[in-house]
Amino acid sequence: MAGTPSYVERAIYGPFHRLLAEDVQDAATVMKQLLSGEVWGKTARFGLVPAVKAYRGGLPEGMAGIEFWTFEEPDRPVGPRHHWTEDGENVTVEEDFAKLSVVFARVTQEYLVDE
Amino acid sequence: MNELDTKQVRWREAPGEFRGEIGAVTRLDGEHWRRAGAHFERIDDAQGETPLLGVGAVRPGAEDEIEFGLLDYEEGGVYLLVPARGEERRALAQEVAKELEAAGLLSVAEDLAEERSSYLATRELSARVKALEQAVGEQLANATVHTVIPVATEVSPLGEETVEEISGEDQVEDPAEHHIGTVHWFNSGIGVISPEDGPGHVYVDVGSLDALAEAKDGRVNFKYSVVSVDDVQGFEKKAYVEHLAQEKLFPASVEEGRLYGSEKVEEYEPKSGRPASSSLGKGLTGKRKSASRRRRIK
Repeated sequence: MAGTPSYVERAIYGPFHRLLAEDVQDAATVMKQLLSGEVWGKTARFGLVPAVKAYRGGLPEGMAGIEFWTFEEPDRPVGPRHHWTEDGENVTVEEDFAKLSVVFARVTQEYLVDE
Repeated sequence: MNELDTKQVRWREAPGEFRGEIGAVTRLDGEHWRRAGAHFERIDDAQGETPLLGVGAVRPGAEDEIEFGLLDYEEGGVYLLVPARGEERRALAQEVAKELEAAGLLSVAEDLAEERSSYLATRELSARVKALEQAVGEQLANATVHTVIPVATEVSPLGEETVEEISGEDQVEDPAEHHIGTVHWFNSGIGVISPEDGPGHVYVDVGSLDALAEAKDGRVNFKYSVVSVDDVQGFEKKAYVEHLAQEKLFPASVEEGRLYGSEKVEEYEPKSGRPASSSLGKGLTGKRKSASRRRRIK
């Protein structure tokens, strides 16, 4: 007899990835991301609002970065870059940052830093 | 778009303090826009990249000018920025795009097509795939057998009781009459054969992933028949198979809209000892002689 599942089903979007980059995706950043389960983004130089930015698809072979999935659909489903700028169940847009809750799939960049 | 009419667009010589959000993506690269008169300046996007930004303005009718930006990451195609956020930016981007089209600088249908064809299409296809598979399943349940593929006896993913085993070249009256191309395997266990001699598709249900795995070894053990499902119209085969290929749901590649599976019908190697060329390949898809073999698939 089928019982009630002990889990929930949800739509999930991805994979997405971010590549190692100074300041915005460095070792300290990835450690914060792993501890918080969030990826943050600030307002782009040309932008009006803070945005989380990620590339579509999984991490390319041999590249350092993070690969994740998220329960929140990106703003627009086009182009190689995806952005999250609008408040949602898994996106919090504050004055300086947009924060996206994610599910990490892979981390290929260094995240331990010597103090 | 050989001759660019830029009279309806005013380009800034420097992007200055332009601020906007991405409203659309165009396939036209930075070079196209430079030829149209755009000036680009490299900026720091504050998110790890330094794209080029160009700014222009259009004036829809007698309304105020609308400034827009072109963000070029130098990888083909540019992002269209508009000074709006949320839902408003999409509408504004469309308005700007129409003005650019009026100026002869882009085609809304073709150059913004990615808006419909890439990720969106994939998502829509996911739903359509399910609907299609359900429809195909229903049709398979009701379809009249049109042509039958011989079955090997060792593997029976659908179970022996579902379909009677068929074998023997005597079923083939005219091997050339129903020439069949390549079998394309779907993860659902449905294989699609694209007839090379006419429209429509026929489907082969291999029943399970076990059969799919078996097919990978160069041997296919069908427990099913090929049926005519030509009435499944509106099936966007190209988009569908591309979606499946992109999702790596089955071993295949797509080139110029055509799907190439890694398993060919010719690879079939029946356990009965018949030569492969006379089994699942072109030779076995001919019309069946025996009316008694015609039946419904359960």
